[in-house]
Amino acid sequence: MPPLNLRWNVLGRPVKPVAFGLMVSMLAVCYWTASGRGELGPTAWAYVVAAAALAAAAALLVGWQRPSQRLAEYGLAGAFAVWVFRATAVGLSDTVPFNGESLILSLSVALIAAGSYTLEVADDLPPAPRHRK
Amino acid sequence: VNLDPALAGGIGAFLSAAATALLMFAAYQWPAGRNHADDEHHHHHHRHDDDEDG
Repeated sequence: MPPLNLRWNVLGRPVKPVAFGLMVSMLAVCYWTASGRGELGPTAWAYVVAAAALAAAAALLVGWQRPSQRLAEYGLAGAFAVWVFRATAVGLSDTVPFNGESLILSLSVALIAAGSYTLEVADDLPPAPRHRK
Repeated sequence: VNLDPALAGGIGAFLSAAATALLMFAAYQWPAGRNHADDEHHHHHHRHDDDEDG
């Protein structure tokens, strides 16, 4: 397959839209779980999710900027793990009335992360050269 | 389902870890997964950490 990068460069690196979106989602999950105001409430598991989400966001950010294949893969796998965790915990717990919406949305993002991770692992292209002005 | 959040979180952590392990295993083991060139990197134990793309 031909190289498939956006021509938008930020900080010398091409923008990775899926990884960026997943990183934003990790920061959002981290914010709401760490504050204890998320759907998991102020529980110990919420703080575990917050830490995992923050680590995944950091891996995605550093993996994109260095760039590092390993960190990029860890970040995507971490995003998948966090979203599966959230889907399961929200679906099973009694912190909010269950109506399936949050569960299905969480699983949908988990599928995006799983697909992006699988593509990243299968990618045999060399790195995009760092953009210099 | 209306489980205690602590129990729901425990089940979630377990399922999440299992699903992630399965995903990583599948991505690396299935024929359409990790390409051969990178497999060679693994064999030589010095897989480069700077070939991110995609």
